[in-house]
Amino acid sequence: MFIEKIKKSLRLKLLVNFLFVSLFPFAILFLYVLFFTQTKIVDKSIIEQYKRIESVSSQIDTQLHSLQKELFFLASLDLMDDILAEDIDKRVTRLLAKKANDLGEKIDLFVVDTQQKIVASSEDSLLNHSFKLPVQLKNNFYIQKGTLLLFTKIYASFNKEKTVGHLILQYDLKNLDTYLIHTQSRHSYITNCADFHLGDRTKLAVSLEKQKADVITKEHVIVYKKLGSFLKNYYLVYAVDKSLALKFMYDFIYFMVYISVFGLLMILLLALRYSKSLVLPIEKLTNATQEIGKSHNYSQTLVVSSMDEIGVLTSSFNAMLHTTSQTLQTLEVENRLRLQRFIQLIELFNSIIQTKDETECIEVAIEEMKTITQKHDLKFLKQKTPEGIDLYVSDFEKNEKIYFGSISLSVEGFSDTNEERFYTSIANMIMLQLDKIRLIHRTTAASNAKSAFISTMSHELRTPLNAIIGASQFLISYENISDEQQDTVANIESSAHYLLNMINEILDIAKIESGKMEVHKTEVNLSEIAQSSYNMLQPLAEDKGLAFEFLQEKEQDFSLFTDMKILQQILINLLSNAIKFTQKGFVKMELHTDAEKLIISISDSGIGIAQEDIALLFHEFSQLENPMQKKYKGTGLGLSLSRKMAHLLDGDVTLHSDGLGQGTTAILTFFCYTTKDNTSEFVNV
Amino acid sequence: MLHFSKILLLFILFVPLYAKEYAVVVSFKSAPITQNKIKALFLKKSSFIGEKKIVPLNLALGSSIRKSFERKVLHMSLRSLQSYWTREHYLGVRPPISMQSQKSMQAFIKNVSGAIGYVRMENIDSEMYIVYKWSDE
Amino acid sequence: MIKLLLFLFLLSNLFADEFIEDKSYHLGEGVQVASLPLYVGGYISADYRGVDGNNSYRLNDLALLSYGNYSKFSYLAEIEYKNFYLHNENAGKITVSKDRKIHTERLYLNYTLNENYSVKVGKYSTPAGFWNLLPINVLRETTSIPQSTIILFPNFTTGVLFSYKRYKEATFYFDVILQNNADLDPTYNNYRMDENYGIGLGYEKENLSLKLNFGFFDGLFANNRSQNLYYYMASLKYATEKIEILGELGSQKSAHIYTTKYAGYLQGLYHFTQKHGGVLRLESYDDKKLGVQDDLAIFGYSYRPLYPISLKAEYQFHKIHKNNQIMCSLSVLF
Repeated sequence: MFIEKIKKSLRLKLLVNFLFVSLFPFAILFLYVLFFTQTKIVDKSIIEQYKRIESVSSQIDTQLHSLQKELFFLASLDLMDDILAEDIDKRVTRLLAKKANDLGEKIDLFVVDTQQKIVASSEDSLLNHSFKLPVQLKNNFYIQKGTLLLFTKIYASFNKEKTVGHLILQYDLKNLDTYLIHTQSRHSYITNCADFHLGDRTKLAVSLEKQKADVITKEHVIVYKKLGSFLKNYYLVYAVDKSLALKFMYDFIYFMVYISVFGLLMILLLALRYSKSLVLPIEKLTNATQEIGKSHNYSQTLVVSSMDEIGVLTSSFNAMLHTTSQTLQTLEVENRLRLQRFIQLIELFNSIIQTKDETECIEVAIEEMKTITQKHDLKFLKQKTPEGIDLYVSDFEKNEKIYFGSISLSVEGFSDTNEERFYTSIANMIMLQLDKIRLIHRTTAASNAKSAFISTMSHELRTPLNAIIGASQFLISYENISDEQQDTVANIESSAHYLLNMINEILDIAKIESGKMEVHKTEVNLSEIAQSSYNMLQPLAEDKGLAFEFLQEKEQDFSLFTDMKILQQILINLLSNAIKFTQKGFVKMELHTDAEKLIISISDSGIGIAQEDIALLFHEFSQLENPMQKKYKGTGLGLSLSRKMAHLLDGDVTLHSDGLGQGTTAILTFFCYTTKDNTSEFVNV
Repeated sequence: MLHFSKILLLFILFVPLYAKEYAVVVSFKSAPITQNKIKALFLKKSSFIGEKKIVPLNLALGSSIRKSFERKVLHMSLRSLQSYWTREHYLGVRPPISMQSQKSMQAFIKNVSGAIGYVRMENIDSEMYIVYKWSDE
Repeated sequence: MIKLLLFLFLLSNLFADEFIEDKSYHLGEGVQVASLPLYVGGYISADYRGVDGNNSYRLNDLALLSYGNYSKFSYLAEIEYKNFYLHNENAGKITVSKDRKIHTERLYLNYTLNENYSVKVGKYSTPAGFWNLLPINVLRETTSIPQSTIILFPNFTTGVLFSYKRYKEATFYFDVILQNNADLDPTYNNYRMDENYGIGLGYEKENLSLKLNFGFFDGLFANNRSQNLYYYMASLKYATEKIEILGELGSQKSAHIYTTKYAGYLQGLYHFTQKHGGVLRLESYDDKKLGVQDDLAIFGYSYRPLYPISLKAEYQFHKIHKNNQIMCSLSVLF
């Protein structure tokens, strides 16, 4: 969640980075101090101790060496000759006393003569005692009972072969205490691991073996060194309480914690403040751009308030805005142009479309184009020119293009393809219009021809047929013809009737198909028509012995805005079909409505139709192959015609049958009706 | 030094007459030595009596005995002696060592073989042999 | 110059440690080196000489000497700079010369057998006469050295010296000088030779000292010429507290003729006070080799604030007048 937040905000990113970068060193330092400094401090303490021990040991060494030098110097004095006189004048004693005094510390100087008697001494108590120097000593010193004894031979000044005695310096090793520190947390001592121990008595767990080493015990950091020269096999040991050494570290850690917390706060504040000021220009830019986005005012410019990357960004953004603005303007201009062209095209089209003949069309086109192109020398030419738009019209019979003529406008002269296409479209439109005009003329001519034909035909065809029918009917009425002759004449009549019916039906169909059937729509009382149709066909039904009913759903009169004659024709057709194709049973005509439509259903118990044959019936001239076909006389046009007529009246005829031998129901449907109480369900379209 | 001189003075005053008699002494049996030889020894012109290496001994600078010795035996003033020893320094010879008191001189003479020094007559004991005498007249 | 200062500084450093209450350091005594049988000292001298329009200022001796004795042996070594710095003005022309070569003046080992006999081996001052024994400026009473000392015999011998001394009422001694080799540091000697034999006889009693020296040496001269030269000299010294009379007279001859007919001087020194003294020296010599015969009278004055510090001035009157000269010098012995 938080990560998502950070991803979305530059400010937060900056902040986090800032914090991280600032706190990282702290953290590292902290960890370092926690984990590494301990050993470092201990090591440092060790190094420091080493230094100190070195310094002390060298100081001790220097001191003892200087004592030795003093000794040698004293021994070289001519004054020492007095020892040969047993220092009766005490000159040597006085000198030794002074010297011992000068040297401070607990030092005794005395001279032992060749008889091992102390002849002169800085310490009175030693005088005249005997003193034996250990024999066979390699060096000029030895340690005895916590005292370092330095000695040297004294020779007579007048005869360097003659030994006067020995000058001995007694140095109490307790004097070395000055070099040792005794504090609560620092311990030091000198020991020879045997009988001598000077200094701190703290128990330190260290075994002194090496020349120089450091040991870290639980409580102490210990460093020791073997002293050399005069104090061979003596160890100088320095120890520091671990707690003291580490105290610094702990103090530092506490300090670090405080500082870290403080630092953290400081950094946080700074970061917050600074990140804000960093991000502010970006926000400003964002706001400005959003504004522009919303207001679509691309002519604005943003204020460049800094010289850094953001300033650069703002400048580029401004440039982009400017470009966009320019582009938009250009687009607008182009758009307008396009629109203009479009409008021109439409207007041209509009103008052309209203023309009724080719010449007018061309004239109008030329005029319009003159206005559009501002070329007033535009002409329509009857021959092809290299610089012109060729117009072609279609030959409908041959289904090919015929050259019609050319407009003297060079399409190639236009650089802009859109312009080219524009003028090409204009040409196409003209061609279309020309085609249309020609087509209309043709169709009109055809239609007129058809009408003429139909009316002529209907008259021409019927007249002879009527004559035939009349004649046959006349013949039938003769008393003197035989039955056979009567039959023959009846045949002629029925055939003539049949032919007439067919002709009527064909002509009706032709009329309807050529749109010549006139539909006169009036308010028709459907019930009345239905009744009238029923009445008309009842004799026929009776003849066949069928139950012929007319049912009306509600006791109301349905009114329909339709053509009465045609409607009646349909009803009669359907009823007659029903009666025709029913041998026994019933024929029922129902008139009912449902919500949307008015339904007249004519159902019979006739031969029925198979499902797959229903569609076929509506086609012209189809009757179902039926063994009983001979029985059914009919042109086969009835259903087709009925349907077509129904369509003319905004209705439909459908057939339903459960199957062969199951009877048939013909349904005549009308969508718009009004009831007598003038509640129309639907508005007439 | 002053302190010592005072004591010596008192000593001189209260001591009988022949306190002014001195002798040049050694701790080994020897025949008397001529003044010339003594001078040579104390001026380090000669370092031997016979085969024996000699160590001449002076008393301290301020000593009256020494003064007497220098005057009466060496026949040289202090100044002459100083210039003499400066010259001898050039020649690689050091002046004799000196003792603070007669007692130390005696002890030295006894302890060091070949030592030769000078003391008052009365301070001579059996272990010393006189090789030269002079008096302070 | 820096070397000189360094030299002095080093010397003084040697002295610095030796302060003890009883015995403070005195000038002219040298110091002992630690407890070794070795003593160290030194001397310096600077002089001026004005003769015949020629002024020369010179820092002459810068010497370090060390000596000691052990058992019957004694030893001495002396090294020095000679003519360390010489500034010469002659009628406006200035010449400066510096000799930074360290010379070995004396280097010998002495063995005393007993009371009477001793032998010395090395380079030593030829024990002829009295002047040659104390030749350095600080120990003599005049800046100038008498011609007899310069002319008659080689001042330094590198060889063996046998001595016999006898001390009775009077002192008698007898020296035998033997050299049969080239000198050690031959540049610093008045004669170059590779043979040098001599005999000295001395007698001292009380204030008087008499000496006789004979010798011959094979002097090497320019063009690799060598010449046997024989010399004989008689010397006299009479010194009391107040006065000192010094006289030497000798002559030198080659195989056949006199190279130096005679050369001698008589000097009288009178101590006005302990510190001040006056000198009169009369010299005369006839150097056949150089063809010079001169008589001089030197009047000198010597001031010694301390004996080891000597300030001297003298004026020489020569028979050869152009050799009249004035000389003065300052020298110190450490």
